[in-house]
Amino acid sequence: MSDAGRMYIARKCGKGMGLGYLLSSLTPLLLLLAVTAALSFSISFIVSLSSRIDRMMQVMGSGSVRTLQLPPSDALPEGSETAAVRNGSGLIYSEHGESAVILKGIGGDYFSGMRGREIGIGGIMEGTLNPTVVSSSLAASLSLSDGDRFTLLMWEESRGRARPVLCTVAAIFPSVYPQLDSHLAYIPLSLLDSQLSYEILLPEGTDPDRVVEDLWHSGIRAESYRSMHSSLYGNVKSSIAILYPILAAIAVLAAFFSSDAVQVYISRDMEDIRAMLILGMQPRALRRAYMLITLFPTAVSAILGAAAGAVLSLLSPAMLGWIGERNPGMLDYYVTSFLPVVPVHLLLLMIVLLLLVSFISLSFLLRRRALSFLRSPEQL
Amino acid sequence: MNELLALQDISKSFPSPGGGRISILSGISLSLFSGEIVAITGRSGSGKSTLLSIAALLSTPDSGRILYSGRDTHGMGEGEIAHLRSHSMGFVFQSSLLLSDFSALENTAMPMMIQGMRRRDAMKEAERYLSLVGLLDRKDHRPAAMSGGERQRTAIARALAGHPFVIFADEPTGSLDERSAADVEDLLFSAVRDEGRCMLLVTHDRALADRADRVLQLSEGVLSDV
Repeated sequence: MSDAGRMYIARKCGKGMGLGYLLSSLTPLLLLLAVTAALSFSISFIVSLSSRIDRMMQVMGSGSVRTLQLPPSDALPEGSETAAVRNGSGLIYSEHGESAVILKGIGGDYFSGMRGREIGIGGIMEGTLNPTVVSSSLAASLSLSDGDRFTLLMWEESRGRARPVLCTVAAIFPSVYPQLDSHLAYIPLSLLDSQLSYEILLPEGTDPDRVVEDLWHSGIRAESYRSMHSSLYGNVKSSIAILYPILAAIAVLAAFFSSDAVQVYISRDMEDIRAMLILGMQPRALRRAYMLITLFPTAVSAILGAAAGAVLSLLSPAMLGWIGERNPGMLDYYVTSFLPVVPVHLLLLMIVLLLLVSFISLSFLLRRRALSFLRSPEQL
Repeated sequence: MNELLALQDISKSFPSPGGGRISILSGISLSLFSGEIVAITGRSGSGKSTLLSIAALLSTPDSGRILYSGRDTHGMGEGEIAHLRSHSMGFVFQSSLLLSDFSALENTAMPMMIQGMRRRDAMKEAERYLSLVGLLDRKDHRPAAMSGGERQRTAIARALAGHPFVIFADEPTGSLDERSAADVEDLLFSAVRDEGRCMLLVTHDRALADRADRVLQLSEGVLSDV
């Protein structure tokens, strides 16, 4: 491209012009900015939420991997934590209510590592009778506080009978994902007589399926949380997978917006286009110039929108917390405490896809007969 | 003298609102030679500007041929026509047709950059042309910040900067006061004559037309000597 073309494009993109000109150039693409911001927020929010739910399934479910034999520590990735547990079910009777619960019998050091940190348990009251750990949502539904006593009716498999036990609330952790923790109680391992199993919690980012495969090769039967909670895991996966068709739909929408914008810019610059053609600028070069003149604010809008959406997503835990305080039931299917993650690779993919589709659409549009006046000044 | 531009048997008509066609130009032939200034006069709507735009390849005739330095332009593609326009033609219109977002210097440098000159060289050369029309001190001003006379002088600088051999001027002083008009006329005429260019001047200003080497009147689609 000649220096004339470069100078023309730079000026029309706002170089040497005021802020007002830049803003007016972005006006036809404001809707694109808003849509991109919404999409960027959705992507960041869904990815953050899904990744937290995925982790909670491991922490509050049955670990990343579950086995029936104690696996040798050298068969596991570094940083893994293994805990012996028994599972059962029961009914909690408190002064103010009752609730069916899933019971997890745990040892004294169960919450001393990653589990305690991830769930956010500050400390467990020592020396209490049958210390039990419950979530804030379960505690709220039964009006229980730290130190309160309640009756737990459990099923004893070995004797085939129901057995009442007096327990004490030794710790209440903030409810993270009501779907998993609103009916879950951690009780001492000795209270349950079901089969002992081992929960292995892997460090984040470790592939549990590979660990399962390795354990099977070592002769240890193991199962990953993905198969134990296949439907919940499938839902999490679907939430992310659905983002891709939405991305494609937004890209098509972007093409529509940029096609509209190029017509706005051409109308705005009609006199200058005429002058450039009369001065002998090649019509093809001018069409290419308008492609770039349109793609530039399209890219700016997409980047600004993506950034705005990402910033908004960083505020989403606070927003969810605020909603949760006012209407707890509304967030049963949401993780209310999570570290927001901005999926940069997905946002970049969104911007690239959007520009690519806009480029293709503009290429066709600028060649179309509707814009044939760009071929010759006589038609201007 | 070299024949720089030749129009041969040019005809042009437009659709009539009531049906049929209105003939604007009927078999016009005209030659311009180096150093020659030809003025075309006529009543408003007589087709002067249409003739100029056909000669400048800005619109196409129904029939006839247009030759630049003997080369027939019939059948040229849009790229070839643009190339011919950038290398051979200069334009001075009543509305000046300057690029609104560009300074006087950038406007003047633009034709040279379109021809392929590097930006820095074109800017230097443009300063020389602006100096020639007495506007060097206004080089950084955009058209909106200039008077009508200054805009026309910038348009002349721009028209000359591309070193064209044909200049098309359509009412170049139409929007100027008497003093500015005289300055612009002097600049234009001396630039054409001193450098062996030719100019096709369209005007209804009889005094301006009388300064040309030949004055032709367009009436009823036909050119005749005055």
